Amino acid sequence: MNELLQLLRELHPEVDFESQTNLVDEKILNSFDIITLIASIADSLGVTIPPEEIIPDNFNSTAALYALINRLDD
Amino acid sequence: MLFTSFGFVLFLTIVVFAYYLLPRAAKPVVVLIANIVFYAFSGWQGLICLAVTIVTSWAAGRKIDDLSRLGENPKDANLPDFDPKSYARQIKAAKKKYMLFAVLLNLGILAVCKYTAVSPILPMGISFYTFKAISYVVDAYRSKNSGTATRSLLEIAVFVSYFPEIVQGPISRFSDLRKTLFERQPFQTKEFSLGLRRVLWGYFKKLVIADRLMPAMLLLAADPDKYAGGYVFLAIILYAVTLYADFTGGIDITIGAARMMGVRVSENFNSPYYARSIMDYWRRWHITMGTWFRDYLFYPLNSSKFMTTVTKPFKKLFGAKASVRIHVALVTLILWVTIGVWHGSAWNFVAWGLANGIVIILLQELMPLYKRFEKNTKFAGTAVFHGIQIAFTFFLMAFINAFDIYHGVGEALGAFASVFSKGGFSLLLDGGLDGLAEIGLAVPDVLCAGAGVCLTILVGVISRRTAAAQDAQNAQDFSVRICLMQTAVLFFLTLVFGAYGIGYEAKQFIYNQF
Repeated sequence: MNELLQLLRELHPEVDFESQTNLVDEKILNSFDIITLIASIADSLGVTIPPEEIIPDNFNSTAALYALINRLDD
Repeated sequence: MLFTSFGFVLFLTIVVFAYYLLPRAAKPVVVLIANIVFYAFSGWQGLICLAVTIVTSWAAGRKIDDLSRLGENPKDANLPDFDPKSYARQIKAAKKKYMLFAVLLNLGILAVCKYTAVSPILPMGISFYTFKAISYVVDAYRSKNSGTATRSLLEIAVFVSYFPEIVQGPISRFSDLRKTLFERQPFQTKEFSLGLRRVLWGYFKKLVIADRLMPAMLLLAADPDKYAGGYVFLAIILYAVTLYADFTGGIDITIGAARMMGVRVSENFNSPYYARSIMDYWRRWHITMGTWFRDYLFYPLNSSKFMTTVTKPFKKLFGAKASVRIHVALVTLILWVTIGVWHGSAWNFVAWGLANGIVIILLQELMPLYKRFEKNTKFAGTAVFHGIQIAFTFFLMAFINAFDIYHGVGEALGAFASVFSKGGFSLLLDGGLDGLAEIGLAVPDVLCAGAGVCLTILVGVISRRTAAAQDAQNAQDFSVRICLMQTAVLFFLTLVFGAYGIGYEAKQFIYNQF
């Protein structure tokens, strides 16, 4: 979780990622951020997020994204 | 059949009448017949390509749906050695075969028809309907649930060949359009009048603004040596205005025509010239094309093994963080070159795509610097600064589009340079009003188009202010009388000030060529 938070903070240091639950719906993360995040996750956590999982529900909060990574890592 | 022809007006009138007069069960058939008739006007040969796309995407969608059902109710679920994960993988692999078959076949048809000399014809709207069909099959493949694809050949045929959007989009998704396309709504005065007003608004933009300015723009674009310097600047601005009025006008006609029959087609624009950055611009301009490329190229390419392999050496050379940035930059460049090539196979479209990609990457790299500026400078939050950003984005996009206007990379760069050359503007300024009249911009033309642009801006501002409240209020406050009065005024203005009549040749929509 900490590693993921660090990757997110590198993208947007001004955002409080622990409390935000509408990252995509409120347009805090745009498509450019999302592909950067996915490339970073693949690089540092070794988990590939396939396109069918790129839906707002999976990216709206750090917790949802963390759950997705764990599910894919299984 | 051009949207701006009398033939289309007659055709649409007949279709709307038939749609509402015939029984509810016949409505999808009416739409399918309308689609076929509309398409046949552009040549019957194209119908063969269209039919192949419809049948293959229907068949693939159906097979994928069968497999999804099998995945939801496995036959062997009760056996002791049943492994749900391995079963799900098998189902997904089988679904992938059908998806790839339909996608590759239809992309192949698109490539052969659009980019080679093998095909004697270029089927009308092939770029748009192929993308709709691909999104349909891929969405069915990606979905975790059955029912994403339809089992009805009639439904998929109506969706792929839907006449209002076959010429220049929007590139609707099946999941969005099916909500209203097959609802078989009875006649509703509100939907019909809003649709009719939207159609008239489209005609107004196309005939009063776009078609008045287009001859001058085409003349300037055809001879950049003669019309250099200030004329190039004028051509670039004329193109920005013409393209907007032409493309959004066409889409207004599409959305309005569909709405007259109770069908809600996706919006394709969201005040693009109010964008404060090029990224923002592309979220507002031709939205359905942008989201299509995002969902079916940008995201899959980014997660692909191919990109991981390509960027692996960079990690060793420059470290992990830099390699991620290179990865993202390469994906962005490939995306934009592909979007360029989708518009046409000539080099100027490749250059146009590259220019977009490079500017986006540069601005994205400068983002941390900009964020610091935004945080520490009060000026960044002012309306004046936002105005500067809007103007900068407008001119940036207008100049990038020079690659679209001039049909050669060298010509575009030469024309571009002449704007900044010494005395470049005097060519235009010395000509005065007579010079403008010579290129087809006589005072009445400029006044008509100028007033049209002002009205468009005014309507844009009003609708932006009321948009949020509109849908909620419409139910109670909507007045058919006011809506029809506005429609009548638009009809009158288009009739009096539109560019048509004896000796007038209806202009093809710019986006038809893509």
